[in-house]
This record gives sequence, C-alpha cells and structure tokens, in this order.
Amino acid sequence: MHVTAGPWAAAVYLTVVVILAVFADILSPRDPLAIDPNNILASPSAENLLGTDELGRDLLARIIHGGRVSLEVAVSAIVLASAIGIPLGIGIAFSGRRVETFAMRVIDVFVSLPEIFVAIVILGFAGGGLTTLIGTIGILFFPQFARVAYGMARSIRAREHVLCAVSLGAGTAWIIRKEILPNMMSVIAVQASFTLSFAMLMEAGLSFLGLGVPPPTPSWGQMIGGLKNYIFINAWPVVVPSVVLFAAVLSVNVLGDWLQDRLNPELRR
Amino acid sequence: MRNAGDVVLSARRLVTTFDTPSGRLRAVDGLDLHLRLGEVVCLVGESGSGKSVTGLSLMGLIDPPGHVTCDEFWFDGHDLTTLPESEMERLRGRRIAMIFQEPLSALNPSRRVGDQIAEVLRIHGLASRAEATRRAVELLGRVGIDDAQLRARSYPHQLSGGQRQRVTIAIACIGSPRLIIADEPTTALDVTVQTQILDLLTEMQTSLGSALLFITHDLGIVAELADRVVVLYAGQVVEEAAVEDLYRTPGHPYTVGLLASVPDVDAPRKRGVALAAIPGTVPNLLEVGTGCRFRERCDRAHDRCGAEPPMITLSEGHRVRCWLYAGR
Amino acid sequence: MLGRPLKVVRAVDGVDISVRPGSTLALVGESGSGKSTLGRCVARLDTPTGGTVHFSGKDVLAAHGAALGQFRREVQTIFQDPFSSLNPRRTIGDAIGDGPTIHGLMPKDAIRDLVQQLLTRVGLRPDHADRYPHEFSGGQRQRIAIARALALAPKFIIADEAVSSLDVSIRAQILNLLLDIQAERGLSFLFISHDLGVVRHVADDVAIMQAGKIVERGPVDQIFTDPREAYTKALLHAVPRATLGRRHRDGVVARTSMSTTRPIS
Repeated sequence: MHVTAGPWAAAVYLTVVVILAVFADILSPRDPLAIDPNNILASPSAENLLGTDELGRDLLARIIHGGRVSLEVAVSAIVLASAIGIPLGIGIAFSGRRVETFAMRVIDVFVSLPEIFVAIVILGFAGGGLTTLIGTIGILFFPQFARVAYGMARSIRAREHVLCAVSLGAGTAWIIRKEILPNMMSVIAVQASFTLSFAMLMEAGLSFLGLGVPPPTPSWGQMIGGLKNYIFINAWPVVVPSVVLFAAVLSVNVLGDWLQDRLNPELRR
Repeated sequence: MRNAGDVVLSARRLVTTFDTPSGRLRAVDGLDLHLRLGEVVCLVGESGSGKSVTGLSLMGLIDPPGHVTCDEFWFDGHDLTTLPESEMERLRGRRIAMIFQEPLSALNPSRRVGDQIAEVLRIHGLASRAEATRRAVELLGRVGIDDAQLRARSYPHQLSGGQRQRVTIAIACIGSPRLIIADEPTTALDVTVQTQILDLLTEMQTSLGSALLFITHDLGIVAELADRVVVLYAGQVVEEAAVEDLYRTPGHPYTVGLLASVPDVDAPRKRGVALAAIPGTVPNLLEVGTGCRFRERCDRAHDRCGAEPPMITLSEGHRVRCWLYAGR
Repeated sequence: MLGRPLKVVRAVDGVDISVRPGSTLALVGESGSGKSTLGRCVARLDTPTGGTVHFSGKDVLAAHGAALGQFRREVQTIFQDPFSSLNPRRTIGDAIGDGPTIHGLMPKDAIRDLVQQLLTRVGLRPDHADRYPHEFSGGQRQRIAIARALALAPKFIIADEAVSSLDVSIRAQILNLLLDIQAERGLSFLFISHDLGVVRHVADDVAIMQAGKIVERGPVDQIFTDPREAYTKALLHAVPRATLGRRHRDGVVARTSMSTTRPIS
C-alpha cells in the first residue's frame, strides 16, 4: 500500500503528541505549574525552549500537559458518543417503522442543534471540569454516531447474507453481532476520526471561553484563551499552543481522509 | 451470407495490460481483429475473457493503470497508433460509437432524454439549437419509442430498461458511425425486450451500413445475430469463424464445451443425465504461464499443450488456436 | 409528519402453488413478475398480507418459537448473487457452520467435521474452510452457498435465480451439483428463474408468472411443447437458441411480429 507524505507526517506528529501526553509526568522538562514572576511572556531561550506564559510558567511543559487534557477529553468524549450512538442507531434500524421514523426525527433535531451554544448552556449550569466537559461533548456528538450506525445497519440488513442468516434461523442478536457490526466498523472508524478533530476543537473552544478545565490545569484551548490578551506584548506565547492545536486537528483530518480512502471500496482506485 | 464490404477496422496484436499491486495483468493478449462494413461480428467470452476490455481498448477508453499497445491499428483510413488524442475524441462517438450494458449509467440522470440527444446533435454540428429539439424527437420515434414528443421530456429513470437502451442506441447512431461496439447491451433486459432491442440494433446497423461488434456471453444471441464469431478465452482468441462453421464444426475444445453447456430449450429433459459442463474455472490472468490457457480444463489436453499453441487455419476464415490441428 | 401511508403494491396477487415432495417446481417470469417476492413469502422472509403457506402439513405463517425453528431447519434459500450472499468479514467455514451453531445442534468439533464434509461434497477442499469469501470465484461462492444450505439437512430448497449470475460453463457445473444433491437426498426444490433453457433441464413442473399472477402451470414438457397462454408462447419464442435453426439476420421479417408485441415491455 502506497502512503503519501501527508498521512505519514500526520501519523508521526500525532504519535509524538500522544507519547508526550501519556508520559507527560516523565517527559515534561519542568513543572507546568511553577510560576516565575521574573520571566513572564518570554520568547524561546535555552532555559524555556518554547518561552513562558503570563505567569512565567514554562510553555513546553504546559503544552505537553495541556495535550494530555485535550486528548483525554476528546478521546473520552468520542468513546462516550459511540457507546451511546452505535447501539442506539442499530436499535432504531431494527425497531418498527413508526419508532424508526419518530426516533430519526428526534436524532435529526439533535444533529441540527448549534453545538457550541448548547455546550455553553449545559456547562453554564453544570459548571466546568473534566467530567462535565467529556459528558457534554459526548452528548453533543452521539447523534452523529447514531445516524451513521442507523444508515449502515439498514443498508447491511438488506444484503443477501443477512437474509441468508435469517433463513438459517438466526435471531436478531446473532445478526447484529455476526453480520451487521463487523461490516460497519470501518465506516464507524472513519466517522470517529473526523469527530475526534471536532471534539478537540470543541474542547479548545470551551476552554478558551473559560468553560472547560479550571485553571491552573493547562489545556491548549485554555492557554490560547489566556495568552490572547497579551498578544501585543509578545505574540510568541499565544502562537505556540495555536500552532500545536492546528497541527493536531489537521493531522487527525488528514489521517481520517486517508482512512476513508483506504476503507471505502467505492473510493478506492 | 451477405457480401462483406470494405475493412473498416483492422487491429494487429492488440495488447491491453493493467498494472495491479500483484503484478502486470494482460487482460487482452495479442488480439487480431478485422471488421468489415455491413458485418456483425460477435465477440464471445465468459467473465475474465477480456471481451469488455477489448471493446474499451478499441474505443481508446482505457485509462491508467491500464495500457494499450498495438502493432497496427487502422480505423476508417486513420492510423490510430499515431493519432493524437484530440483527433481520437473527434472519431469517438461519431465514427465509432459504443453501447453499454447498463443504459442508466450511460445517460445523465438529471437531464431530460430529449435534451441529451439534442446536445449530442449540436456537439456534432448536425443541427442548430432550434432544430435540435425537433430532430431529437424524430430520432426517438425512429428507435421505436411511442409518444416520442412526450418521452423526450422524460428523465432516464422514468423510462423502462428497454426504452433507455433505445435512447442510447439513438445517441450512438447520431453521427452515422462506421462501427458500433455494443457491450452486452441486452444482458440487463428481459428476454422479450431483448428481442426488440436486437431487432432495433441490427435494423440501425443495416440502414447505416456500418460494422457491428457485438460483445456477449450468450451463444443464443450469437447464433441469431452474427456473421462472424471471435471466441475469447483468458485474453486470447481461441477460435474465429463464420457463424455457420462455428456452430456446425466448432474446432477448439473450449468452443465445443461451451456450446454443449447451453441447456437446450427445445429438447426434453434427460433424467439422470448430467448437463455437459466444462470442469474447473478460468485461470487467474496473473498466473498464466506459457502454453495453452485452457489445458487445465481440457479433456483432450496433451503434453505438447504446455507449449504455446499455434493459430491454425482450418478453412477459409476459420482459425483455431489448438495443437489438435497441428501437422494436418 | 410521521408515518406517511405506504403505497400498497400487489407484488404477488392471489397466487396458488404447491410443490410435491422430491420434485422441482420452477417459477418462471420476467423482472417485476413477483417471482422472487413469492419465493421470499414461501421462505417466510417476507410476510404476505393474506393467504397461507403450508409445509409438511403445518401452517408456516402462524409458526413461531420451536415450530419456526423447525421450519428454518427444513427450508433453505440459495440466493442469486454469490457476492452479497456471503458475509465478507467471516470465513466460509464459519458461514457454513452457522446453521448448526445457531440451532445448537452439535459440538464445535462435529460442526468442523461437517463443514469439511460439505466442502468436499460441493467440490471444494476441506482446507478452504479458513478462507474468506473474496478469495473465491462466483461459481465457487455458489458452491459455498449450497454447502451452507445443506448444513441443516433441509427437506426443501428455494433457489432464487441461483445460477443466473454464473458463466455458461460454470452454470452447468452448479446445476449438475444441485440435481445430484436433490437425487441423493430426495429434496424438493422451488426453482425461481427467468432462464427457460435451465428450467427445462431441471424442472418437473413449471409455473409461469406475470405481473404478480400465475398465468399458466403444468408439467414441464407440456408447458414447453404445448403452451396454452399467449404470454408463455411469447416467452418461449423470444429465447435465443444456440443453434443455427432460426437465424435472426435472415429472418428479421419473420420476427417483426414479435417486436410489435409491445405490451410485454
């Protein structure tokens, strides 16, 4: 299989980010919370490789620890969204026609809600924090998984191998487990990779607005939100987390695209 | 047999290869083909024989990773081996027309069929904008569509399969092609509709005086339609003959087996007697070595079949690629 | 907004068929004639809005629980498209063993043995059990589908255009296999097909369907040699013969009478 430079670069970048995030405690050069009032908003130096923020905290350390939060939130939210969405979608596909029409209308309403607005409302009432953030983003994204799972389940269900299983006497549980699920996993994987980048952006956006993880725990969005105020004093510190976030989202999208081409036989040349 | 006209297409050693991850696949391997005006030639083969690829190669419609080479390729006085693509585009659809198995995919689903025909008329400069619509309706009538005026305003999905194939035949015949290539045009149709479409095709071909290369797997259609038959197996021509010779004295064991495998509608069932069948399956084109490609399935295979069999002329126009006839 | 009324199309309308034990009834018709829908109703894969289906004296449509399980074991369907009738993500050994597994008929080892026996019976190798469907050709896949149907030792097989997508030389192999197995096991067949040549070779009785209704039925030789209905005659006439007896090119005039029978299209 020929892989072009884009997916390679994306994979390498994400691998580095993931390794740094997972082993942040060991790999981080400094304490991300250590304040140094004598060295604020500094550009890169031998001491602070990526410079410092408004409280003199080391940016590299905060990026590494912030990546951990960003990834944790995004990945957990996707796991939550698919854990609700996939069974729901398949369940709807196997329910009667009336339930099906009704349930899909409800799902459509959910999908069409303005996400960031709903998130602000929920987090406004429930308050920020890791768990609420994950829960909120997970709930915002589960309808998309439900829709994809529903569509796939319906189309696979019409294939002759499913009819074959029915005529052999297979029950619904068997059909879902052996015939439907294995054949929809590739599409779900693609959906998950695209949703992951949305979730990362959503986390960043909410943290930017101060609705995410409470300080002093760093996250990329929260860092951007804080440092933007000092852009005219020194632009460097705000650029660092922005570029890191941008590259991460781009990489996830590039890999998602690659995965889609690779898994979708209709797009395969 | 009708008098054969001038040679309109002549291809020598046509080779079409596809580069696949597991190696180079020779889908068509050294095909010689000569078509005369007014003649119906049937290209017969099963799946994997290379019959459809041959049609596309002749149309110049093979895209990478496919690649076509040909020692000699003349069409209607043009040397197609040296002809630039822009010239080829002018020939295609006008002097050579192709009709496909699935008319629904050959037509634009979002445009009325009348408009589609009118557009082709204008592209070929055969009608002015004002005239084109009227001519389109006329053409629909000519290919046997009732209520042509009304039908011209239909979208492809509103027509039946047979009507859609009539529309593609109308479009194919607009440029008065010298050669019509029809790739299984009736396979997707019901048998009663098939008869009508075959009638229409031959009628159009006769009135245009063009050559018809009819690609099919159906030996019944071949018997009814062909003047000459070319039998393909695994990318090679194994037999070529006038239709009478092929059905009366088939030479290649594959042709013999193929003819025997067709269940006869007119003969009563013989209980306990198995239908004649050819054992085995078509070889993987990536794995064929030298020698006869049919030998694994052949009941008359012999040691010498491991060497490339020669093409032997049995009688005028009847050629067979088989060792059985060597040294006669 | 919710639940628009469905447009009701009578795909099959007041049809009456019966298959004698050990014999083959061929259901012949063009696309849209309702022959496949009828086949699915008989297999209880679709539910008809009215009518009854009896199998071995029992009402199939009313069956549930153990009775339905019994029916699923005794009646099997072989479908047309050998490419979509096998799950691409499961090995063919698993696919063939599905029936016995679902019904909990035998332990794993015994299923494994059965799968190998069946593979041999349909002309494949026992070691093929661990491969995936994409490694097989259309003809081989149809052999796998047959093995799968046989795994439950059924009494009745519905073959829905089971050989229509196969090449001529392969089609004959598969037909021979089906006929051999029928003779061996005394199976009854409902053979759904549009191919009259094949039907003549396999059927004992024939029913001709058009627009959801059966227009003619009878013993195979009577239908082919002495058809009563105009539609049957038209169908028989339209089949291209692989012999030189009726040359189209010389006989365009002789057949134009056919092309004017428009209503059929």
